[in-house]
Amino acid sequence: DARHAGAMSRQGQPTNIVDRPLPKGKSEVSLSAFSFLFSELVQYHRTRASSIAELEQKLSEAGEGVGSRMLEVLAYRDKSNRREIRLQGILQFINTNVWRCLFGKVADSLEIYNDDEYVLGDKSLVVNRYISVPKDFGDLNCGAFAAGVVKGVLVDAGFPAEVSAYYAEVDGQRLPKTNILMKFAPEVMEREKRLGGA
Amino acid sequence: QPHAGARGVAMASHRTRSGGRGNPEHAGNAAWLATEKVNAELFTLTYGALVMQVMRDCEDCVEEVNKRLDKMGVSIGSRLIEDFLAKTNTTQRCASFKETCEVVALVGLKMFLGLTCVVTNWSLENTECDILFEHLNPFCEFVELPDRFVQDDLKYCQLLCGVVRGALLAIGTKTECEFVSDKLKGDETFVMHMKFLGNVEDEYPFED
Repeated sequence: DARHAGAMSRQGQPTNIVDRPLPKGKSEVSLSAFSFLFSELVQYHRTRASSIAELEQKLSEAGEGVGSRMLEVLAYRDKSNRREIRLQGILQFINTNVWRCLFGKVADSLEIYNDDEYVLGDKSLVVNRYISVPKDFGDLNCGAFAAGVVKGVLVDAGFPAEVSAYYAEVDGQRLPKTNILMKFAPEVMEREKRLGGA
Repeated sequence: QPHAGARGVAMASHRTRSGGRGNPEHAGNAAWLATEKVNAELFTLTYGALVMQVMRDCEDCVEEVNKRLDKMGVSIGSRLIEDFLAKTNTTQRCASFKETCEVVALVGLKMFLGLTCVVTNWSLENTECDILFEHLNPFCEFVELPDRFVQDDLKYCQLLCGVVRGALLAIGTKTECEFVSDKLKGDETFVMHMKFLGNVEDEYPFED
């Protein structure tokens, strides 16, 4: 029936994904399920990578895939249909919207280190919480995945940057916090100047 | 109150059906309520990223990807079973394959993925059944398979089959577990077929 062709799937054909309504993003899975999945992702790359750096690179790539799609979904859901073109705007977007959507809370801190370097901090990143790193993994930081998420968002939003994760000891706290360092490309900083102040 | 009465009757019949071991649906719901949760989209997109990376590493060879996803699932399942046993305070072995499948569908899939499933289509000897899924969104939301992967039979959700098989194997039950109906391929629903293959006695972890 031609009238219903758009809404119903054809016999044996999956419904075109853009014909389906976008979900509201309120559903959940157990933290265990995510932890097991993530830990298997790490295991998979560990057996294939020849160094910790390469393993972190692979985790970061996985994160980029997540970040770039998260940007699309969140931008579409945002009622104001706003597109961030200023650095402060996209940083706030990541700090609040992206973090809240993916991790259930806003990031703990957002600081400027240099003109072109910003650091996002989080005390209890879900990817680092239930993952215990065996001694032979050395300095592996699964925060590399979160760094990838941030990079995916930044690059697709038009703010190319190098993004990496590292641990920082915090006074009076047993577990270190995860810091995500973003170093923006020169063209981003030039554009910021042109648009009026860094 | 008639409403509470009706609920009471429904629960009583569940209890009888599962042979007095306790209501699996109730156990599943309780475990799901008690567990710490994360946004399903984080799970969905991470799984998608994993599949993409495996596909790239296997150079788009569907057969290799299916095998790899299954293997990863088995690896997860063999570790997940401990988590399951601990969280559900399980001390008794299931009395039958029928009970095992009900626990997988009503407790396991519920407490880890929040899924509401139904076990049906039992074979005459109760060695095979189907698990019907209302949806498989944690894995498949946002996913559309390109035609060539539909044709080559990419088993996008194979990891889940591996998890079930791996978990059951770890407690001594050998099974086959496959999606026989897959919405990503154009079918109406997701249906996981379970087949009992045998017991592995030396892996029995419980005290008699």
